[in-house]
Amino acid sequence: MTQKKWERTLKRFLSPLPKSEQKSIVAYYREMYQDKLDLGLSESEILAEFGDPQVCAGRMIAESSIEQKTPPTTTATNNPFAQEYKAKPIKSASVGGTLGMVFFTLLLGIPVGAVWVSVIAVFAAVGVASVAVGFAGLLSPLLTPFYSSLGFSGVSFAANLGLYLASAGAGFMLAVLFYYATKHTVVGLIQTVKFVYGRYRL
Amino acid sequence: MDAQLKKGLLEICVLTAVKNEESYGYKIISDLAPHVEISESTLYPILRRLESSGAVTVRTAEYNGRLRKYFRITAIGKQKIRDFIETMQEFERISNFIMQGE
Repeated sequence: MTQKKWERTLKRFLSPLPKSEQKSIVAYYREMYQDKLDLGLSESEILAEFGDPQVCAGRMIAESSIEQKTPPTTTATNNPFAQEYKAKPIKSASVGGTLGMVFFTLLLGIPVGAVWVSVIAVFAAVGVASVAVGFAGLLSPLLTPFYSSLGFSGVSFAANLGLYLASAGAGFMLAVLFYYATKHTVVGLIQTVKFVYGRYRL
Repeated sequence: MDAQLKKGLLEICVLTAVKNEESYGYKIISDLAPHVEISESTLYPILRRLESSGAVTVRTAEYNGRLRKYFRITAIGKQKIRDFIETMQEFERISNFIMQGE
């Protein structure tokens, strides 16, 4: 590759940057090239030291966008290791924003929330009920004499026992599952409320 | 070395290279070469940042029939070096504590 071609490729990949910035970068590499040439390096040696022009352009663009996001440090913080944490500006409340939050809460938040909580509660109740049935059934060996007097045979009792065990197990798993579902829903809800209300200070 | 840490270090290195007299791109790289390796594509953004933060000033002058940019440190740049030295002294104190525990 020749220096002209290297520079052409560099220019091509610098095109996302403002024209003035592109000019500055090209001038920089040209100056660097000339200085190295004066010191006796060959064209190919110099271009090898520069590296791939596309990669160079990529680095320039990446650094340029970083510079735009973080404004230059002031004399107040000269520590190069200081992380600049800028507090996020809180948007001031607007009438529209406030009304919007009211409607969000009344029309969407409360109804949807109530339905979801009810669904979870139903499943939790089923789970608890299953556990209750299961435990009641498992306790029944104590009531065997009572069972016998009522006319239940040994075989059907064993089948009932199996059913009660299954019920207790399923109920327990359901209850656990929906404990976590409720917990995560509440956490998620709190975070959503914080986010929504946090951006529009009422 | 951590990338952010290295970036900060290199900035101060470049400032040090122009502390006593003004310098230019290639000379900065070759002056730093015995201490730290810095490529052309790394140096350019550092010089831009230093310029935009007021740590260096730039002037363009003719040299051998072509144009060359010269960088000179400012009071802000000198303060940055002093702040860095202070940070490094604290860093040394803390790292001694950490190494005592080894």
